[in-house]
Amino acid sequence: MTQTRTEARVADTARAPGAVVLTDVVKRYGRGPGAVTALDGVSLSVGPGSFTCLLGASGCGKSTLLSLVAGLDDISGGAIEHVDQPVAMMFQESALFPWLTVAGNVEIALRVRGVGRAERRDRAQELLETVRLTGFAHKRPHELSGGMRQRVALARALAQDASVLLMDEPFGALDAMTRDILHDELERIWREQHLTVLFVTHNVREAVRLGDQVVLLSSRPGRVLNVYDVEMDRPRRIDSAPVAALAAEITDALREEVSRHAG
Amino acid sequence: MPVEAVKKEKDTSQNWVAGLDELERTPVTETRLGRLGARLWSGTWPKVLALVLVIGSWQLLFLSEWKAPWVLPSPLTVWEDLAAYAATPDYWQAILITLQRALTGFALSVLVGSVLGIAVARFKPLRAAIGSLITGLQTMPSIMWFPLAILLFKISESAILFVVVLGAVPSIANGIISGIDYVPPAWKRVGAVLGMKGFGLYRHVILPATLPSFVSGLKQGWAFAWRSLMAGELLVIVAGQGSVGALMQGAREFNDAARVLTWILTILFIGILVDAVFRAADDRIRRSWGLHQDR
Amino acid sequence: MTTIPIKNIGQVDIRSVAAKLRLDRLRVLIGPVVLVALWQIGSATGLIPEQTLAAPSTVIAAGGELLETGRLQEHLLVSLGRAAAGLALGVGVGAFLAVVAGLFRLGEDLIDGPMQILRAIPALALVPLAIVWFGIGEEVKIFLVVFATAFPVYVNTHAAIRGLDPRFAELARTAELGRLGLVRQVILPGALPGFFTGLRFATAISWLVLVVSEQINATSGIGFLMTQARSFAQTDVIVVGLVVYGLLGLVSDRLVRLIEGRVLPWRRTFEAR
Repeated sequence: MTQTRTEARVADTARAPGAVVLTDVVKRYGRGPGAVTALDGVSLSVGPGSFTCLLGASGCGKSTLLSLVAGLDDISGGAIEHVDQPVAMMFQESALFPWLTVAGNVEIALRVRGVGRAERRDRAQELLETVRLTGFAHKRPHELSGGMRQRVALARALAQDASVLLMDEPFGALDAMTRDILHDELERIWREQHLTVLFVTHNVREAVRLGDQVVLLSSRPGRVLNVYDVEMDRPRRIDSAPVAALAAEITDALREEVSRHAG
Repeated sequence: MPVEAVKKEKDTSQNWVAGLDELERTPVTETRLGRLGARLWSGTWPKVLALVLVIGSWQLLFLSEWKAPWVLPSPLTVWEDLAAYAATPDYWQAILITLQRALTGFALSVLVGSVLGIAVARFKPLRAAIGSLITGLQTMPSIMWFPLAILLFKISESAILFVVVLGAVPSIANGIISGIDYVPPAWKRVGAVLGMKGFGLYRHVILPATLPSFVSGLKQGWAFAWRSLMAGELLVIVAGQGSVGALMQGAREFNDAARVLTWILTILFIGILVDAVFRAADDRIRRSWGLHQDR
Repeated sequence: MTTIPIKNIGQVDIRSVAAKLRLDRLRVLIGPVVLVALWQIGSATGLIPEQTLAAPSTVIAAGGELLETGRLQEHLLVSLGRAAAGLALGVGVGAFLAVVAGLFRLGEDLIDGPMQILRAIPALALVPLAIVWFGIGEEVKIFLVVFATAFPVYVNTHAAIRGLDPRFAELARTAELGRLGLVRQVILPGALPGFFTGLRFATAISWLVLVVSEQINATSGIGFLMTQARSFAQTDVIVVGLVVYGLLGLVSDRLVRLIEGRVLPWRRTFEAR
């Protein structure tokens, strides 16, 4: 009975554009006795236009989870449902192509989709404006700072026009000040573009700063330990007291989980 | 929130972003023109010095009378011979023939090497079969094939071409193969996320990413081709074709050391010129990719 | 001298690499074996005429005969002697110049430029000049090998010295090593990897130069053996010569790698190209 009700609800949410629903997702690498279970029965429901942070220590399979949602890898069991197939994705390294200009790097996403030349140029211009890099269209990636490169990568991801944006520790390699700014920028763009964001991080404060819900994953294998709803007004500050308080609570849970693996 | 406050907040965040962008960019300290001038100067003077040193020690060797003057002529004698010879059509004709062979052979090598490289990188069975053979061929001097080439093609253009191609193809193919092998996985992942598959991935990501490695393969391939050609022209003298190698052999038979040196200088000059072209191409790519390191 | 400028960010699983290496060792044989098989079939069916290219079986027979009569050993010894003498001199000169240019500002100015210029002359283009200078004796062949091998050793060793991390020098200074200590403890060991890379190129090139100079004017050596065979259209002997040169190149390359592995154990992992 409970089973059917869950399924009905799941089917309902999945029909809305931008929603992502994971049901008992299992991911195993290898076969036989040497097989490694990366994810073991992960169920998660992400509403359209929401911001979800996936949090966990090393080995919790959070990046694997994103690859599965992006369709870069096949699941071993369970189901992942989302309405519009192509999802946009961003990584820790900006992975901009050095042989293209900044504008070219944004345009390439449009080119693959067969968008015409003139429209490509206009759209890339528009997207660079969105990430506040208007004057840098003709620069090469190596002429930009790390934070600027990540914004170009964001513009490239936005060019995919997908309603779901997956982010795999996108600000992990940036200094604190730049990261702080990019949090503001991401939040602004997320709201303006009505995106559904799935954001992987190992930084607890970052997760609380950004997420509507923070999903805490266990390590080896990855399971959902807890889901925290963050009910604080936006824009939040990463150094505000309520953010710090919730972050402390989650950090305690995370430490407990990590300690379980000692010896 | 009142409208004013929202607007103000937006403005400050805009300034914050722009300010940090400005601070994080590396400042340009010198003017473009000044830097170019300095670069030209610092790039030129060692070359001039080197040239003076080479010619100077040659002159000293000549003055020391280590060898008889007709065996080791002075730089001036050779220069006069070069100047006189360069006024004749024979000189240019020979260079033309040799360069034509070099370019034909090199172009053919680029074609064969590229196709072979992509095929080997792309298809596993092919890599298993001939991947190591290509590396083996690269270390094995192509000149060794000359006797075989002469048997296969007799004394002809084709024999020379065969050896030139055999010399350059492995380097070019290997340049492409290692280029494809070392495409950063992150770029391939971005390609996959953007929805590229098969040919599209090759066209938009893998082949452009291979460029630096391809160019260094080309550079090495040219070096091998040029060396093989020189050896080939000395070993295989096609009748009626006054190539650089053939004329050099001719001068040797007449014990005309000045003329032999004239040709060596010519070969040296062509070598330096081509090397400069490749270096410039390499430099350009590295600069625009941001791979350039200040030396 | 191929430098691949892009860093490989991919993770390397040591076990899979080891497995691949062992597999690769077997795979190396697939290509040549298939090639020889095709060649034998081609010869047997008459697709490859005997006067163009002898069948592998004929080649093996010819090789056996050359070995029995002792001609192969005789010429091989002569070639080996020339290669060794030329290589020893060339490598010595190259390494010496590289160290001088690498250590002294003045040496750098005086040596590096001329070396970079002369490097652009293919050693084989010097063959006619060498003959005019030295006649057709042993000197010519050895001169050519010296000229050809000095450059790769010089270029790679010099680059290694230049490319040393300046922090090493700072470290040495704080450790109060002194100038001689710096050279002995830091610079020379740092130059060794480049030196060995150059040595590998040099050995390959020494064979190449020898083939050509022995074919042009010699009365002994493998190259002479092949030239002689060519005038009698003995394709089997030519192929034997090719195989011998190939093996020599391969064996000397392995030998250098072996020494390199002994002297620089930490390099083994990087050199698995």
